[in-house]
Amino acid sequence: MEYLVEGIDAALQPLTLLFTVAGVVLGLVISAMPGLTVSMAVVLLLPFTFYLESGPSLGLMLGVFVGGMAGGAISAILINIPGNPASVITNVDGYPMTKKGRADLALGIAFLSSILGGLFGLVVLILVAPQLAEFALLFGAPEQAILVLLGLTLVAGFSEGAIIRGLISAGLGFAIATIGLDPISAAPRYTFDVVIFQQGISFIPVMIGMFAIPVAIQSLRQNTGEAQISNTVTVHSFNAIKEAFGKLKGLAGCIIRSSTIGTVIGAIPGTGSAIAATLSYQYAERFSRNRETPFGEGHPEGISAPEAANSALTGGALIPMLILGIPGDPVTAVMLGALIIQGLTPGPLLFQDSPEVVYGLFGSYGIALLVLFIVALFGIPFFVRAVRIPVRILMPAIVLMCVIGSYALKNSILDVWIMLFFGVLAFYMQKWKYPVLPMLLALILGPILEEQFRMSLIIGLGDPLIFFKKPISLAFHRADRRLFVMDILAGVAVAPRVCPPNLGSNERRRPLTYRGNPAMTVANLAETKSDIVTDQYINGKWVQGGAGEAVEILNPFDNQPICAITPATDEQVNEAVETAYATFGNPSWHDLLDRERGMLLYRLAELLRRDLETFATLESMDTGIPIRETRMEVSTSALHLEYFAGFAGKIEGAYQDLGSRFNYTRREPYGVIGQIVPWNTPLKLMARGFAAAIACGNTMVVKPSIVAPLSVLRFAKIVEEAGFPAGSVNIITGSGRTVGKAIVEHPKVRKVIFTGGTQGGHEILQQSIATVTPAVLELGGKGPIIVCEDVDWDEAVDGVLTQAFARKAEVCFAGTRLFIPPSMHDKFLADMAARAAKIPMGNPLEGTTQLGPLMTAERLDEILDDVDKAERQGASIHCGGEKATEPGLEQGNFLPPTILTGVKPDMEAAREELFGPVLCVMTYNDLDEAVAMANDSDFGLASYVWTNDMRKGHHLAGALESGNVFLNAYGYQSEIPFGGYKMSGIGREHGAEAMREYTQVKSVTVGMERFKSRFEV
Amino acid sequence: MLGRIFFPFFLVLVALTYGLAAQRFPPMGLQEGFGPGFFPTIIMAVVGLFALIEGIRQIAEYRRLKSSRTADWGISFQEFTNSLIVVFCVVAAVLSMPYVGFIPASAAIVLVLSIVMGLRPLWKCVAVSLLLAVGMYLIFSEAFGVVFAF
Repeated sequence: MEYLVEGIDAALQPLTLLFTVAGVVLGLVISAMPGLTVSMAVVLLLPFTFYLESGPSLGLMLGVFVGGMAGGAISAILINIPGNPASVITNVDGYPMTKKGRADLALGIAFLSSILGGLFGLVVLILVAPQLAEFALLFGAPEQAILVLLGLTLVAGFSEGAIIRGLISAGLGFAIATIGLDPISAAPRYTFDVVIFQQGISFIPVMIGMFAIPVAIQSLRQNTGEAQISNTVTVHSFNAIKEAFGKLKGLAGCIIRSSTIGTVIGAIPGTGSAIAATLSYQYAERFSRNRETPFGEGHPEGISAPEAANSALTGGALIPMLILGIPGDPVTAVMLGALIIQGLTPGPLLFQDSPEVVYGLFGSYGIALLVLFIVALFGIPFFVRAVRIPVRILMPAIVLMCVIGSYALKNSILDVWIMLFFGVLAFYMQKWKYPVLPMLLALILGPILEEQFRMSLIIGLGDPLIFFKKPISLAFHRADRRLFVMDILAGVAVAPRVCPPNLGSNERRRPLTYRGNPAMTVANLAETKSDIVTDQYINGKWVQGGAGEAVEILNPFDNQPICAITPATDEQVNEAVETAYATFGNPSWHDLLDRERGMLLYRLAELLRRDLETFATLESMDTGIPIRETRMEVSTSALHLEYFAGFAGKIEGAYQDLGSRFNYTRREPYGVIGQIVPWNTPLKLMARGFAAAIACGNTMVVKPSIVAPLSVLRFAKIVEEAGFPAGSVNIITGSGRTVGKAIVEHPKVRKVIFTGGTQGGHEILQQSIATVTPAVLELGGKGPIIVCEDVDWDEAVDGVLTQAFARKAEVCFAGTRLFIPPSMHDKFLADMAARAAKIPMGNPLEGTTQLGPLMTAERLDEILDDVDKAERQGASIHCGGEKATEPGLEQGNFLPPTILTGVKPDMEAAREELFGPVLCVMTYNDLDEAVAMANDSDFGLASYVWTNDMRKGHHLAGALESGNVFLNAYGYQSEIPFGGYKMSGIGREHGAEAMREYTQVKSVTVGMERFKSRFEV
Repeated sequence: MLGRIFFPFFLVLVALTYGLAAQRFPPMGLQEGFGPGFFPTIIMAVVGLFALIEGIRQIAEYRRLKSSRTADWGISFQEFTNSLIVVFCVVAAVLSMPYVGFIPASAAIVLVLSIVMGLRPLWKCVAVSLLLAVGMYLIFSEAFGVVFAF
């Protein structure tokens, strides 16, 4: 709703409004002229959009679309010649009514039906499009390929004449689309060594030529003089609409029925307005209750039905174009072009990335209908005159517009030749009964289809069954059980509530109620267990660990065992490192092109998304993180893989000219990289370093924590499936003190990635002394949060709540020290506690759960001890502070969000990393004091500032001793370099910085003159 | 009719040429099967096969109707010359623009086309052509900043 209001607001901006009005008027004028269609109108106006912002540009296009659909009725009613295919049947009853002297009534009914039909289409568009777009986000490459193919088949199938000619036409479009650089390998195709062809053939000049040139050729030397309107015809706008309103009651059913038909037909690619108009006319004839006037002799429903249908079609046609990027007819194809010119790519992501554009488009559509109504009230006689404009003047003007329009796109003369060639080709194809629309759509959609089609086959390792196994049906199959149904149920389920606001120390001990619904457990544990991997992955083979007793992997929700895993032995660690080392020098890995390693990572990302539910479930069971969060973590992991996949092949060295010699540097991979993964969000924390190291060309030995290894061990399955050469990635597990140590101390491990506690970091550094192995360390944190007085209150409360308690604060970058002015202290904490009380705790596998249990019972006990200790030292517990023991939670390691007040900077709770949902609150009198307290810590990983004064925010960002500062923000992503100051670590993950971490510099110096010896011998 | 027979067989030749050229594209490392030539090969097969079917269908249709219809190219002579006129006008205008400038060249297109379309008297043709050429120039060059550097 908020977006909708913003969309209407955007549509009412003066320039957008002006161009929308101009669009409606021009659409009416052009479409009213016999022989000129709506497609022609939008194509002729397309060049103007090159110079406009997206709002006015889309307003113009939509105005033309709406006006054009209505305008065709004018010539159909007045001179018995439909202005465009949309009005192909309006003249059957419209013209007889004109002959009876009721032209104004006929035009009134046509316009009113158009407006109401358009309104119907708009409402459906607004209601349906965002929902479908959300659903379409789940489509992967095979689904997209199949959808494009389906859309084109429909277009070809509905083409006039045989489907074979439609398919040939589409094939030609695809062939033209392959000119240029290959979308995957960037190899030139059909460019004839001409550089300009490497960009491919732009579809805009093709479109201009195909729609306009055939009409011009056809009209040349035809007897197309001025259309004759009988002198007896008089039209009075106001009377027309007034009389039409009088008939509205009798036409309501017909308009609704025809609008429905129009919207549905519009949403089917390739059908078109003529089909919608004809079908709705047939239905009107069959179901009409008004038998006073026979159809064909001036029946009002004979005018109303086609006009309502063809206007409603606009809304329907926009649905596939906006959601899938598949234009269903010429007009939406041109609109797609207009969007692309604006740098916008229609598709589900458009709704996510540019909602203002989408809702602005909805707003402009509504405004265009309103303008049409106003125009109908006052301007019909003016548009009647448009019918009299001689074609002899229009056609030369159109040819000139085609030349200028195609040239103006890129100031390229080549585009003019392309326009001319395809215009003439389209003319001959039409004469020989070949439809041109499939060719145009194939040209637009060809690159998408090719890329998705080939990507699907690459992902499926060449198995064409991927189009039948994976796509929509399987996505629905997997999603229905775990995603949609559960989320829908989750929305109506009653969530458990914990951590009441602090109303006194007794109040906080009030029993908590767990009202989770056991039937809502998302994962079928029996099924999930089949996804559990307990073996080690070494040299492309699966082997059982052999180091002593198997370790039970516990579910922190109930501390029940999920499975047992035997850790790797020293020999297995050695084998893993040796095989990674050997593979690093082996042609199977060494000779891979950078972009091929990138492709492996892309494939891995795709497989990760395919198995999203499996990974999310394993991670939730293993770590206690709610499934709604682990789903996001898995998606983020896929994004990490994709981000660094794109970096493969973009690693560059430097060059220095030194006169008699020159020097250049190469960035080379280290070789074997040992990665030690922590137990909190293991998959995501593994994926970032893994992806960067692989993209740089290293081979890997990965060790997930023995406490939570399931998702990373399962990851080995998709590594194998993705086609990584055996030995390039080895995944083994075991304790950090044994397996981790063996990896770090191995002489053939050239670099170590470690994420974990500061103590663990110290140990890694000590272990790597002997081999001088460098390490990327991301260690602990004690994140300060500084809240300034000028904040947006609600945003800051929500923000601090997230920074302090998200993912139970078992994350190194959690904000665990809150610095706040005394004036804000009480109310801010009361608001925080009230909101914290609403955070549902429960089974991590339930969709409603937002806060899960801590990782182990021991960790819970340690944190509770720390809280008690802080209380004994003078701190007060504002809320939480006790293990949750209510029914449903009593078996798990649940600690409600805990807020400690009255904390002093020297207390242990304020200095040590507790790694749990405990927020220490301190007050400050001025910002210098806040910064001093914030910096008074051994850690420096992430700091947070809440302020509305950006100058102040940047000042604080500079003053804080921290590797990462978030101003009014939280959370990191692939692009943001991440790492710590002080004891929070060494090196940086993410972004281009990570690529420097996983490559080493080799300097090469070349003498350019004869070498001069230092010795004179 | 002849045009409808000729065109699909012409397309078969185009498809074969297009597909053979695709076989010379470089392979793509690990994914040789799905390299740059993969999609063009499929297109060649689809277009070639369907064009062949269409050609054969048109021959059959031609034989069936031969007795009752005169063989033609599916396009009238006038339509053919119309297409030549449009092509000639556009080519001549674009090629002459660097020498005579945008306004005279574009006025010439409009003038020729409006005369061919039968707009009379001639002063009307001249007036319309000048008006359109100047109008277009002002809109695109002055308002939108397009540089007509043909």
